[in-house]
Amino acid sequence: MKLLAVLASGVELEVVETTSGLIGLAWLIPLVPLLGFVGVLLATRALADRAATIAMGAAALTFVLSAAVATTVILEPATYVRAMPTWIDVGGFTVTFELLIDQLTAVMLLVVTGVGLLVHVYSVGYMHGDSRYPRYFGYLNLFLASMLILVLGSNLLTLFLGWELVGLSSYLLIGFWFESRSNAAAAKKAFVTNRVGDVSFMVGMFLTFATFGTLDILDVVTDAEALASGTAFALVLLFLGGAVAKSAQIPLYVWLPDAMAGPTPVSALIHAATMVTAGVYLLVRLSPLLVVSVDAMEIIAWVGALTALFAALIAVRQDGIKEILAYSTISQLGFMFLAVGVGAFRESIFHLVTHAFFKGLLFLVAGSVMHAMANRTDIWQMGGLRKVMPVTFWTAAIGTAAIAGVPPLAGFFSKDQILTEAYFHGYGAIWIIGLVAAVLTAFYMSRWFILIFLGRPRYGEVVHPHESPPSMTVPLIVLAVLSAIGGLALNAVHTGPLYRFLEPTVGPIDQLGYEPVGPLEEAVLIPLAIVAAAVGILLAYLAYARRDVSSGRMSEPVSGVGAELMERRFFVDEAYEKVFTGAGGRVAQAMVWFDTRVIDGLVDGAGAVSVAIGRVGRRAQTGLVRSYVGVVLLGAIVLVGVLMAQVV
Amino acid sequence: MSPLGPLLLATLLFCVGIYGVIARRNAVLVLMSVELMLNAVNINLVAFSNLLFPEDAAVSGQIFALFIIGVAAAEVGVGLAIVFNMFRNRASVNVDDVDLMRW
Amino acid sequence: MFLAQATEPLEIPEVAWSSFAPELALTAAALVLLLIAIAKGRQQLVAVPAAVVSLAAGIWLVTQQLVVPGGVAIALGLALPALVFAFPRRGSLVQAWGAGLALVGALVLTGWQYLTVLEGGGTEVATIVPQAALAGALANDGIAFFTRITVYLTGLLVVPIGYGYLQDRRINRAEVEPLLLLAVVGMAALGTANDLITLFVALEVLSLALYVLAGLARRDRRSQEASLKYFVLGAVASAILLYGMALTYVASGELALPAIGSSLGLVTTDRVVATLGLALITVGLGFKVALVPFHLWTPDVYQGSPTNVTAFMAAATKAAGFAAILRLYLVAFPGLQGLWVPVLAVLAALTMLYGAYLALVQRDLKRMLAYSSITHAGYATIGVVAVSDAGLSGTLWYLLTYAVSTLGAFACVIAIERTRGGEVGLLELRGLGRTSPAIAGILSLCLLSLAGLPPTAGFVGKLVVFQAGVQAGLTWLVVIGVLSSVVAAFFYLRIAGTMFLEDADPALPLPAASSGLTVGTAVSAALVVFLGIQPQLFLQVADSAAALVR
Repeated sequence: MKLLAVLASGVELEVVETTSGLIGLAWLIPLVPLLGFVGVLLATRALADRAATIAMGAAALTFVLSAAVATTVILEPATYVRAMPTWIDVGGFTVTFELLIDQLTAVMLLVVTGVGLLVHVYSVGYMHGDSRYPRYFGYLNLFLASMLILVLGSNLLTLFLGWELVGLSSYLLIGFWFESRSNAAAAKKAFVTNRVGDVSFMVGMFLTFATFGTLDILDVVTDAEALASGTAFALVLLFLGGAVAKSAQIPLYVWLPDAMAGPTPVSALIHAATMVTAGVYLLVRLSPLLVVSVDAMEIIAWVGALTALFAALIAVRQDGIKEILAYSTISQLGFMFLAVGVGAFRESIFHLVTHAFFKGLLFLVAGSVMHAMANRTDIWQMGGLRKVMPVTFWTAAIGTAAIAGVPPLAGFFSKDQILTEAYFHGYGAIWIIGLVAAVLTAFYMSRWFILIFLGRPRYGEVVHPHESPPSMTVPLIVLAVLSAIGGLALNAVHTGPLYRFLEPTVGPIDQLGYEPVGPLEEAVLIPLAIVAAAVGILLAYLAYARRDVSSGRMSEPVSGVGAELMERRFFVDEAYEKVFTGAGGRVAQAMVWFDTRVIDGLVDGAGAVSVAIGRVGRRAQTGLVRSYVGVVLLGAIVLVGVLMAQVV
Repeated sequence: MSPLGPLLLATLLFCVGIYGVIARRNAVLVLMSVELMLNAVNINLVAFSNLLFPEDAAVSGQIFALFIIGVAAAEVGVGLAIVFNMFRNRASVNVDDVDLMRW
Repeated sequence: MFLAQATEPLEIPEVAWSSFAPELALTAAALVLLLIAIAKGRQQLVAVPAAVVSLAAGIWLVTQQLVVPGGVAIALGLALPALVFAFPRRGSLVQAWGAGLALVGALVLTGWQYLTVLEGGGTEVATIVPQAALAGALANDGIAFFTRITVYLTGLLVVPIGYGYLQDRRINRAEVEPLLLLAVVGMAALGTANDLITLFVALEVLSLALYVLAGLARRDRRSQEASLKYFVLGAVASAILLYGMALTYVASGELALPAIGSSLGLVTTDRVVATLGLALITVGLGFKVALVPFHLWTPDVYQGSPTNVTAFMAAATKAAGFAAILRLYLVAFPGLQGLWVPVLAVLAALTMLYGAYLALVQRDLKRMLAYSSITHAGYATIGVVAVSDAGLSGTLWYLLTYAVSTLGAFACVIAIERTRGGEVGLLELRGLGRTSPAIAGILSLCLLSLAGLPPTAGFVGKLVVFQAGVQAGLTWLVVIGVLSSVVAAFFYLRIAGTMFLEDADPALPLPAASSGLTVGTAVSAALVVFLGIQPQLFLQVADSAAALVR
């Protein structure tokens, strides 16, 4: 059945409802890894090491299915809807498990299952010998299934279902090595921070339903145009609240660096390539709603820009091999939010894809290095790994160059296009912040690379680094190739294939009346971005490759209050600790105190008088039953008073 | 007859009952206070059924009172059993002694 | 003397027996089980005549075209002697199986009633009057059906869950099952009650049975304390409720809820007296379902009672209490809507926040679940104050999801408690995820459902209630609900975290489930997942429930 939905832009959206063909099989995409999860968990003991094969098979199968579905969308572009059974249907509130498969979904499917499959393969080598090896692969499959539900859901509620399941499985994976208390704490922090975002998301959903009478994404985006901008503003901000938590943006980014406690492949999969991009996906998915409220978009742009800058600053002075990548991820996600905010939805998705390639690669490189270095993580104790780990070295070089923005690697195109759009859409300040963040990115990534791979070894005699097994290096090579040519192939010029492919799925920005900041043309802006990357790399080269760095941290070229602040991550974590856990605990304590003292005291029949008379001893034996009756009575009196005051 | 009299009496009885529940430590006296409260309700029901709704052939208020009397008897039965059990275990019927579980 | 005023002889109302067939069957079963217990050692002396009566009644019913009730009677009549002869020396097994089968029968009868009423055109319509039966004392509407389903299902699960536990603690006395059945009857009747007298009597039937059940462990001081506290506070609350009812009667001159509703809708009624009555009734019912500030008994009583009784109280009493609240406020007090909606909304908000925060600082698992049950009363109230079909069905549905989740959680507590004895605190749970993954997994699942995370029943429950709240324009209340559910997620999560993210204490014995406990737990867990993924079956019933009330 073919339907036409007319978007706000006047673009006619071809909606095809089908249950046949490859699209008809789309429901298998999340189901296969889900079955893998159930199967592996049910037979943990019996399967032992074979669990990895099953989980990997499930991941491979779902990748093939995703590729097939994506190919269908590429060959016959349309918005496909795969009808599925109803989930909830009560009092005019209907939610089905329907799948929405359009160009955006196709891109996300390929990224999620592709990186997912590579991480599965990599984990075979990385996690070998772990005592809970099968369970790990079960969790990986669960994560994959959750992420696919999130991407495929045609309804905000099914999207939310995936959203929550993703949170749950990442909780399990972050805390996977729960023997260490800090890991368990990190898992909890991630979960709790995400719950804060969920509140926002849920309220957003309720408001959506109250406004549109449906949670179906297609209906919402087609009706969005008619919305009052005030309502749209509120809705966008509420969904932004959810996205900010999931995608680790200011002010809810604190969980991501801690989440590095999980196994490194997990960081690559969840904290770089897939889960954290869910927030970006959500915003782009709702972009027809976003364009109704330019104010809300500006807020998104600022959140992204500030996060990009702030996280990059912190990354400059971190010492952990994964911490740097974590802050770098936050910063790059900031770029994606920035892009969404300035109306560059497709550029945002483009950066999401390239980032999945190079950041996935960099995390896997980090895993490979840690594997070789007996799990050391301090980059000051590495150095000179170039010769012992040639494959890791070369792939790392490509990854670093890609994220730094060296042409013609993937990161160059996507980052440059975001900055160019910011400029052309009239966001001068944000454009400058973006450029500064780009310089910093090139700087801290080069520092990371130089300190790990170049120079003389600083790890002493105890460690004997070696190249990782093929199951680990093959994914590295695949991702390195993608990082190298991904940008060129997908969207080498601004209006490249990916840009045109995604056109029908994003909100129209024509009517927003963007004006460029100044007279500069792309021919000037592109070299500017290249200069930014070059400056960052050069500075890092001068600071760390040309100088003696054997004295570890002491050899940092700059010191002072600013550097100290960056090193201590601007004390944000400490401040949050104080404010949030402190406040939450205090409220609870106050309530207990209120219970034991005030209520008890109030009620204990003229308790104060009794004390004065001197029955202190008896007072310890407070008659609790009677004080309960007293509270009930007190409540009754208040209730009667309140009600009677209104009628008498 | 003015409805004020029974109303006052019932209210007074009810308050005495509540006071008894709060002020008395002896579990048996607490039980008796509860009975007072129930009987205050009965007075209300019977008196107003008679005074305000004399045309109601089903005398529903008074029927309600009958039900309450029946149920109250059962309640006292169960209550006394509980108090008796308490006495056997603790050799005390002081409700203030029951405070193992607190906040 | 007063009776003399009735000038005409009282009319005996026509009794539509089938409109309370499930309750009749359960009451009969309770009596027979009690008699069997009394006739210790000579069970067959009771069982055989009872079976004969039941069979005869069943055959007569079948000849009257009432095939389903007749079938149930025949089946129960056949099962009884079979049980007695199968377990000649094990009276407690006869009791448990008897109670379980009776509850199955009650569920079948409820289904039959529901379908008959829904069809409307069948030959049996005359025997089940949907709106009012027994001269208007009972209302066989949607609230009644859904409450029956929830309460009977809870009872059916509690019997096997509690069996082994009661054996272990040596408190499996013969009165347990009959009392449980009577409490169930009281709860179902509370959900059906359509006038003040029925409502009061039903409330007392269930309360009296629960007072005794709470004190089941006679030598355990905690159990005894729970029983005493519950009794004293419950009696006072009942008295306050009664006073409220009396005042309502004074204001309206009616006892039937619909009549009160139409009378209070008139301008001439005394709004002052009616409001006073409303206030006192709110206190009484608020106590029963544990709304803040009338909740104080809950933690103590839940902690002290035998755990299976706690599970039953938490799951079923709440459902019955809310059924009464729904019908009272929506049928009898719609005229005072402007008064009670804001008050109940504020109480709901207080309840949600208070329960969640207090649960945070608890260490004992049962006590924590008690505070959690307080929170859930707040969520369920959102559906009441929405004053809409969606709210009505939302509350009913919420209570079902809450019942299965909390039952599953308490069942796991029982499994842990059985081998570790006494209190189950957070410390006892450390590393349970490693030593007994099944119990830890199911407990986590139920807790996630209580926290309202998808894809569990609790999520759909909260969703539907919140949805109704938003539709009714109570966005502020829903926001508080969502916030409190985040706070609540902390402590549910802490339990799960303790089990999975900490090391086990090797000195602690492993939890052990008896066969009944295994079945009960597994069914609860399955329901938690099933209602989360495929809620439609019961949601439809809840939805049509709303239609049946009007």
